[in-house]
Amino acid sequence: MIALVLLLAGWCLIACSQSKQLARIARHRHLPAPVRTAMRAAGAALLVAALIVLIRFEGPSFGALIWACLLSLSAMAVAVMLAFWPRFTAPS
Amino acid sequence: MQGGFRASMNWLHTWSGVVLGSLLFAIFWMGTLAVFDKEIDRWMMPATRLALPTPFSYETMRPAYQAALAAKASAVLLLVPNERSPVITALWRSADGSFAQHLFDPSSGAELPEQGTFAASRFIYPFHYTLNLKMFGLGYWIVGLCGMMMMVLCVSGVVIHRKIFVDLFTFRPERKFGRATLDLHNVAGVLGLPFHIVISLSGLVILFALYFPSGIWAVYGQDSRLFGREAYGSYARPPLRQAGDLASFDAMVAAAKSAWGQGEPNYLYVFNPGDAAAYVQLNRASDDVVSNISAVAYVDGATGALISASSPTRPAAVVQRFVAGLHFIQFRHWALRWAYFALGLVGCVLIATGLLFWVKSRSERHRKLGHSGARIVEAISVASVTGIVIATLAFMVANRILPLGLTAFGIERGTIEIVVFYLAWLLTLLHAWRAGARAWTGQCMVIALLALAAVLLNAATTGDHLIRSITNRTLWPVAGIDAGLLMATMIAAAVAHRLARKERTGVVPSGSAL
Repeated sequence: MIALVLLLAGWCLIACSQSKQLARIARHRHLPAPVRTAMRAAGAALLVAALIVLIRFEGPSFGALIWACLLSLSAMAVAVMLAFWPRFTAPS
Repeated sequence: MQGGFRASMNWLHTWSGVVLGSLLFAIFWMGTLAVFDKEIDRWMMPATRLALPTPFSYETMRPAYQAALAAKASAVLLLVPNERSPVITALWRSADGSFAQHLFDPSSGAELPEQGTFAASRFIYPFHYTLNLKMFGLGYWIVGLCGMMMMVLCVSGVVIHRKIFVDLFTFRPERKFGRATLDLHNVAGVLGLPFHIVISLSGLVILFALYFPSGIWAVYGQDSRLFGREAYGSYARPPLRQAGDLASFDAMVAAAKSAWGQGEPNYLYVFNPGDAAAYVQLNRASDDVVSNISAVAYVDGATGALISASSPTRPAAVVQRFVAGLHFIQFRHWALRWAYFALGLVGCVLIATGLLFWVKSRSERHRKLGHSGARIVEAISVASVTGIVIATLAFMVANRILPLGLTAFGIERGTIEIVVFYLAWLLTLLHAWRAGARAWTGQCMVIALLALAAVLLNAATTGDHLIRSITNRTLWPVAGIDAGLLMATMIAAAVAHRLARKERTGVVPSGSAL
């Protein structure tokens, strides 16, 4: 569970460091290059942290396997969240 | 050159996808269901919704063995009950060479009534790797080809994807239908890429002896048994043709466990039953490790003493069993099981959106030019995507409607269910051909109705409705299947609703790609 939250947060940071994705949730925002790099690094660090947490609790073989599976699934969850974000926040 | 290479990869991706997409979808769909094969078995065989006794005495398997002896079986495979499959399953080879499956109560050892179904373990699961085409092993080869092509599709798909990192999360359901479909295809493909590649590759590695027998032939000649002995430590001896009795099952298991150190057996395979030279192969259950096989032990049938015990220690065999374990998911880990199920569904979405994109991007043009190609592919796509889902649901509904022990036209109940499956599938193809692009809407509605009917029929015929199955730990597998069916109902109804609205207004409402 902790690992899943870490993965989601990590992917969110990486996704928001891409201006194309950021434009979906916040209009007219440009991030300076150092901030972007920092966000990407932090995102990647969170993904690795999830791997460490999983290996710690599930053992090396199961931990790595769950990490690989959840890595894909959480990234897709982030993609779907970004996809439907504008609709939920748009004034209706 | 780069453009030329990418264009040729695009061609390869498009056409291998169109040609094999339908088969790939069938394999992925059945594989995804096979993740929960034991749970579907419980759903389709109500008499097996039993609690596992703790502690389990292996002597409870004696009546199953004696029933096999009475049937003059040449070998008896006894599957030890476990959390997911709480019955003693006995498979014995009858005198005519066919395998018969009988189920026994794990507490009393009494035989359970014949359930008259092939359920998931004997229909859905074999469909995944043989398409149930037994002739000349044709199914294995077709599935193997699809596995190879899936990897080709993965690699060529990455090559033709222009902005793989920029578009890593790009999914714009508000865009035009074609664009949104392609976005979804890309997201499902790229983000699920590790799973798609590993699952196709491991599927091929499992059946390496079939696809690449030349390595075994080169070293061992035609003596494949010698290969089995050296790689996995298998053992065999001929019968003595003297009557003999079998020692206590508990003693045999104890002998095997002393060789393994830890773990329980998942099956006992009795060779030469009833003979003085009977011997039993015990396989250590691999539910606590990823790798599929850890250890085999052979014990003497008459004395229960250990003959030999081995676990694959050579690197190649260890790697092969680990890769096979990745694919078989026989380990006890519910989070991982659900993750595999979800990723399998992502694979289904990937293939379905690929087919859909091909059809949608061509149907207009082909209609103007008077070609029938896109129409044929669309009918086949509808039948292979929504059609196989409908066929599976019809299979489950038939299972709950047909009375036990039914025979019609000389065929038994289990076979009738399979006939229903194929008939339903054929009907979806005919419907798709007649209805054209509107077929998606109609078939989604049918999915919603059939899934709901399956849940209601299960409640009506067994009394295990959702409230009861959720509150009873033994019935959780049934609750899971019912919940999955209800989810399918809701998703299919939502899709049908959106597609119908699109047909009425002629415009794509926002978010209709889902």
